[in-house]
Amino acid sequence: MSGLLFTAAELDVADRSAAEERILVALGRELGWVDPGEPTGRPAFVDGVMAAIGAEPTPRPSSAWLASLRRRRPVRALAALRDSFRVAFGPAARPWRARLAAVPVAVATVMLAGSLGVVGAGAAGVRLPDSSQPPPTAPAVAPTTRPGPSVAPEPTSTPSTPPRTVTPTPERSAEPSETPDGGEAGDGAARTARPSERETPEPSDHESHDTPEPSGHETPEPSDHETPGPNETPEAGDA
Amino acid sequence: MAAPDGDRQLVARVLAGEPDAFRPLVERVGPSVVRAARRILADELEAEDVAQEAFVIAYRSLADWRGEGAFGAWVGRIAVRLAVRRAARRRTVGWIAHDEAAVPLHASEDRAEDPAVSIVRGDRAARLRAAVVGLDEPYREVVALRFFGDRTLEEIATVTGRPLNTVKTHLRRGLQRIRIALDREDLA
Repeated sequence: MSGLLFTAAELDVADRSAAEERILVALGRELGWVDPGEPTGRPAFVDGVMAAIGAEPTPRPSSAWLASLRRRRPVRALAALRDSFRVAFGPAARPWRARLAAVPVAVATVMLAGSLGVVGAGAAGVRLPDSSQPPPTAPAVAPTTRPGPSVAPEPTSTPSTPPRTVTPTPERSAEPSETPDGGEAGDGAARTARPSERETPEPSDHESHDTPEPSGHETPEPSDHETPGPNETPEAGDA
Repeated sequence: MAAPDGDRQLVARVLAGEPDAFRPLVERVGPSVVRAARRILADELEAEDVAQEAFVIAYRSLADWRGEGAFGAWVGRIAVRLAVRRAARRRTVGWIAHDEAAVPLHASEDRAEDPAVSIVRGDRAARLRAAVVGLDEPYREVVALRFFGDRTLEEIATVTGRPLNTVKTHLRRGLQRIRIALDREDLA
């Protein structure tokens, strides 16, 4: 019979009938009875095992990786280093002697990896100034900031924006104070032929050289004809 | 579950460079490891071969032993895996040899047992072995460790790193599958 008698308590509490439980317990006990006898125990067995491990390298973590390197097995050497870390710093309850034997290898590995990291960082640092230069792709981003046509209608309602108010006002505004001569206004001056007829009586009352043209009367007419439509503004803004 | 101090000290001595400290470990847990392998393979010599291989593997990876469970359970798990793998490679699994070592203990108490009964028992044991070997993992490992390796569920949970309730579930499902496989054979 097996050393451990199987009982129903070893099964989990899943939904099962009492009949099924009995069947499973009987099956488990039958499994425990399969060939349960003690082995004949050949005395040569232990000697055979010890002879077999005699051909193996010592399982000390501190020497396993060296032995693997000597045998030119880098993968096993790396595995041995990993084992050294596990033994030295792993959370499991390991014998302190085993930890003590593994710590030097682990520390040496950390130092080696650290020095390699420093060398690598130094090599990367040499290239650092080259990388500080502006990348050549930066100018390619600038064209995307050009104002698109969809932004154009806005300037007509907000003439305070500098690039758009400066250029259109001298050409199109018919305010009298800024345009001493109607001919400089371009198209607007050619159309306003009537103001010139009204000028004649007034200069006698006022000083004619200061106010050469009766701008106060002319104001409404040029503005009606020359007010730029929304479609024209973007073209001026492009400048 | 922590390993006995004796196991840990012996392992520590081996890791410190004393290979001969491995011998007491082999002497202590060797019989149970061989027995577990023999119950799967039904052949003592083959079981010893598997057990020796298990000890060599354990020796190589001794630094991996976490000391959380019994050393015998750890080596037993390795041996059970090797034995199951070897049994699975056979075409016919576990035809029991009708010699003294292979007869079940409870049967050998009655030396005058009818040979026919012995044959029936041997046939049933072979079918049970085959059903266990034919299980999928993780059920196979849990069933084999519990019934062939004589390990408690707590030991199995420790050595496999699974929760105890998970081990219980695997055990129940493994037994259910064995039962289904045996029923299917009976119908065939």
